[in-house]
Amino acid sequence: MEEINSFKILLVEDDPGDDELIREGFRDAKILIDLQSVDDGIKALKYLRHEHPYEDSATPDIVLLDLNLPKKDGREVLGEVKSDPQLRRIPVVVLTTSDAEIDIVKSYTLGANCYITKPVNLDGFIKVVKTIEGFWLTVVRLPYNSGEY
Amino acid sequence: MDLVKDTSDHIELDQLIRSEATIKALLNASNESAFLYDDHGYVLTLNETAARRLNMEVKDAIGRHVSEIFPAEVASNRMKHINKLVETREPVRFQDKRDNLYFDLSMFPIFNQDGKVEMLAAFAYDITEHKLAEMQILKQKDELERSNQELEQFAYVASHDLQEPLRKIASFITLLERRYKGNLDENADRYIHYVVDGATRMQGLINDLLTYSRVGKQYSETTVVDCNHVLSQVMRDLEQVIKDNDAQIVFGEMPKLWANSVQLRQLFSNLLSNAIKFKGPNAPEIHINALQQDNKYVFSFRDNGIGIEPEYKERIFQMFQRLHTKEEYPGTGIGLAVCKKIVELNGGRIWFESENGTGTVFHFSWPIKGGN
Repeated sequence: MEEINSFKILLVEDDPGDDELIREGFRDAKILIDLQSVDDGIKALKYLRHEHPYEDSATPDIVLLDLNLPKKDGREVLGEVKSDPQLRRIPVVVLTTSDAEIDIVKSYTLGANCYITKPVNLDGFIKVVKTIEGFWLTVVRLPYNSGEY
Repeated sequence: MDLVKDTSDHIELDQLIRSEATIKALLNASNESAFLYDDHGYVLTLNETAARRLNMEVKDAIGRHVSEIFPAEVASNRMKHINKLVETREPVRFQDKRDNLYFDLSMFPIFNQDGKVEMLAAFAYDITEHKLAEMQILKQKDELERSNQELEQFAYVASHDLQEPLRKIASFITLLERRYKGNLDENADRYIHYVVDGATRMQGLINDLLTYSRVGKQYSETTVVDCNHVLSQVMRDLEQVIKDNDAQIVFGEMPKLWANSVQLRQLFSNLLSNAIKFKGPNAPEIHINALQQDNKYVFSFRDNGIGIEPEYKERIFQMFQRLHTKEEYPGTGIGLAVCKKIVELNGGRIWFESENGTGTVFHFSWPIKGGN
């Protein structure tokens, strides 16, 4: 392992505002974070599978996934990731505005590693992102990620 | 016939003629139809109103079978009831519809010496106006229910979807305020402050609207709920507020209710936090009681707060109605509207008594169901 090992996050989010807010939340992170984002479900799957135009993409340590996305929505992306032997080990954190019971249940059924509703105020939002950092990127042991399984 | 000396036969016959004439006059004076049928459904006699409704002369209708004088559907319904009456020997009452008219019919048996039904007396009351009014009311009720549902759905969707862009506005204006405060001029800082304040308040309102429209939409399943538990939960939720205001809360044994626990908690919590929030010069003292009255419980939340002028007794339960500026008492004015909705959804009523300056008592009633 390299000494300076950045944490790779793939953010799947179609709202540029939320993209920026999430980056804002990671701004003062204590660890080095490499955050890449894509804005629809098709791009997300291509990114994860290193398909054109993402041939050089690195497999992320964690995926932050919005549910309501254009083209292929987050539920479908989640379903495909979790049923793909190459990708299923990557933790997927669902980060969405929906607090509908059906979305929560469905996401966990599909194999989401956790489900978070975006808080309505800035402080809440930033706190959630910091919690993701603190828990998923610090406390949790993730599978060693060499990009190959 | 001897004209001078009445025989008893003569008197009887005379009485008979007179009584028949009397009955005939009585029947003809009625604006409702009267029939006399035999046990097979043949018309023995009828009054003039009945003939007029059939568009026939009295003499032409006599001797006809119901199937000859009524449309098939009406006739078969009538025969069904005639047969039933003949069989059961009990009076029957039913409704039927002819053309655009509605009738309420009652038939009574006339027995022969063997106790068998020989004839049937039938009266048909025209209840068209009544019926139409009733149908109109039902239709209006349906429409009202539908429009209420649509309105609720609208409130839910609107508040839910409005929250999203507002979240964006509020987040970025807060970010702007934090990052650039002091970098612009004083006016800019103040303007930003107003935007932050407005956006935050609007978030509160939309959130409340969502809460209100969710009452009864979510958490609608009911079970037996122990109010002692609910109240201790609410006290725990409000622990800090109770402490900060040095509030005394006294309650006795609470009943078990047939309710939804989330709704009940919301109700208790709103009433209790209001009682604390609108405190007077002294530390809040709140007494909570529940008394059984017939088939319901009546709860009361008595406080020693600022009280409410009686003229606000309706307004106070409306959504977003506030009696004080937000500087005096923060809040959006949704709490009591939610309370009212919860109580009324469960078949109860909410009201208050208050004398300005000496506190308020909020009461609500809750029906006892299932004998709990």
